[in-house]
Amino acid sequence: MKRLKIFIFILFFHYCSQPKIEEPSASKEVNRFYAQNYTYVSYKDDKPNMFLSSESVSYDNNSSNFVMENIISKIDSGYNEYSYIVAKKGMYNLENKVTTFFENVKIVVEERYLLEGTFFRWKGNDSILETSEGTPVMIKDKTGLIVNGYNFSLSVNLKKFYLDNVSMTLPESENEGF
Amino acid sequence: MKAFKFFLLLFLFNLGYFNLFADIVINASKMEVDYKNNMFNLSGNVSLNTKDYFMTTDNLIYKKQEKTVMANGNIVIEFIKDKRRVNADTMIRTKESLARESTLFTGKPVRLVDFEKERTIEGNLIRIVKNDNKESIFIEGNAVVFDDKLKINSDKIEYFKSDKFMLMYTNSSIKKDDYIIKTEGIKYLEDDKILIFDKETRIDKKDISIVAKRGKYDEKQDVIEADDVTYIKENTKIVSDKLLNLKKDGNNFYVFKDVKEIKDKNMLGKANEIEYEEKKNIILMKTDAFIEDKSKDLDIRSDVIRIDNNEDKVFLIGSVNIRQKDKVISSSLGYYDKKSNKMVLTGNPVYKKGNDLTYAQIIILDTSNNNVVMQGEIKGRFDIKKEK
Repeated sequence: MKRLKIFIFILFFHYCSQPKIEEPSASKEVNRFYAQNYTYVSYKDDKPNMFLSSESVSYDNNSSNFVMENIISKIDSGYNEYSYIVAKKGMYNLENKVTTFFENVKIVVEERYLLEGTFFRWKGNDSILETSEGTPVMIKDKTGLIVNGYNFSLSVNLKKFYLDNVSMTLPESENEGF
Repeated sequence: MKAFKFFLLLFLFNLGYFNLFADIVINASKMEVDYKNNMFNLSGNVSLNTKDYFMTTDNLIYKKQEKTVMANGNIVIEFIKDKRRVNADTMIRTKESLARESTLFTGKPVRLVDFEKERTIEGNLIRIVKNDNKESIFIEGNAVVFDDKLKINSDKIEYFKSDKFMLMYTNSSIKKDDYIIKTEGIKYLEDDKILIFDKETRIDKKDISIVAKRGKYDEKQDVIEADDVTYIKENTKIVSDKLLNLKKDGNNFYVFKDVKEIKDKNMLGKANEIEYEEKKNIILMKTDAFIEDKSKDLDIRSDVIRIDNNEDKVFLIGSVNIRQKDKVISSSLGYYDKKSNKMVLTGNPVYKKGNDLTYAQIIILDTSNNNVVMQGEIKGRFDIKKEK
């Protein structure tokens, strides 16, 4: 537990510190750009519905993809509720508004659940968060509930999520209904 | 941005402290979570494992906020501590507080096998309530409780397991090797083996039937106390306000008080009190005893009437008064042999018919033809005019 705390503190200070701004590489192609400490705001119906911050970002206008590293994202779930995502890597497609998060992805869904996995996809147009087929997900809540499963899919509009091959563990408690 | 980063981390820190103690595990093929309402809907080969029980079912809904678990389809639960198994179609389990939990099962029927008591409980609806470590089981709709010695059927049974008693409601029957009880309401004290009833109840035991509105049956002692009773054995029927059942040399001895009616073969009567010795088949009618045989136009009144059914004899003691048609005989002692139809009266018998009055040592009345024979010293007065 101590190790986890120390790791997360390090991560926290790392995010808050201001890294040096490097000059763009001369070898980059003209149709690409590279930035650091980048924040992107996506709008839906004239309202910002996703904030994407990353330590670095590169853009490829052929594929309309932003490729990001060390990402933190905030998604508006409506009714003043938000979901937060951190990931080692990510990719945002400007055309279909799909954001893909890779490697050590952690998501806090509306202050209710913490999702952990290696791959998540946020479909901005449909307000759906999902994994690819066969990808495992771990879900936790503040009460100690842990759910492991595959094929995760969450609809922000319906306030529902779905999971296959589920194993759910609840903490020992005399008053949980079981 | 920094604020929500911090929030995220704080959220992460708050986890973990709880996870070490997890002991409820649910597995399923699919899960749908309505996270706004904290509702988990699991389906397909669902299994649930807790420290108290293991369950398999087709579907399970867990409402976290309401602390309610619902299941439906092919439910099988093995209760580990309680040593029982339940098969049901649906289940709703609620923990209202730390001390109170309720589990409702429905099915056609729900079957609960209690391995500890070697007993099976069935019903269309079974509710198990635990409150302060006291357990009650409520069974409704074709309720059945049975083991190798006992079978109870009822519309509704309430079994207070911790307090060791059972309440049965309408259309109830209790079958044991040696008796059947049919009742509209009865309380069964499990350890004492006493049945208390305040609704109409019929007890059939060998060749005896007892119907009563209120009473108590002690199964261990095989004795009964009841009010508003009708007792039937073969050709004998006794209707009384009260019945007390005692044991005399291991045999049943019944005391009926405020007897409204006694019917013995073709005789009908009443008395303040009747004692009945079951094995010897002797009926003792006390105080203002009266019997009549309408087929013979015969009345018998006496302080005490003793009917020996095995010998087919009636003994009369006290203020004996016999009337057949227009003849009246009074005495203080007598016996009536029903086989030979002879009524023998001693103890200063007096014969009366109209104005005729005769005293004799013994007067014998043949009840088959109304003839009278007088024996010993005879004194009397006859109204000769009337004879003409």
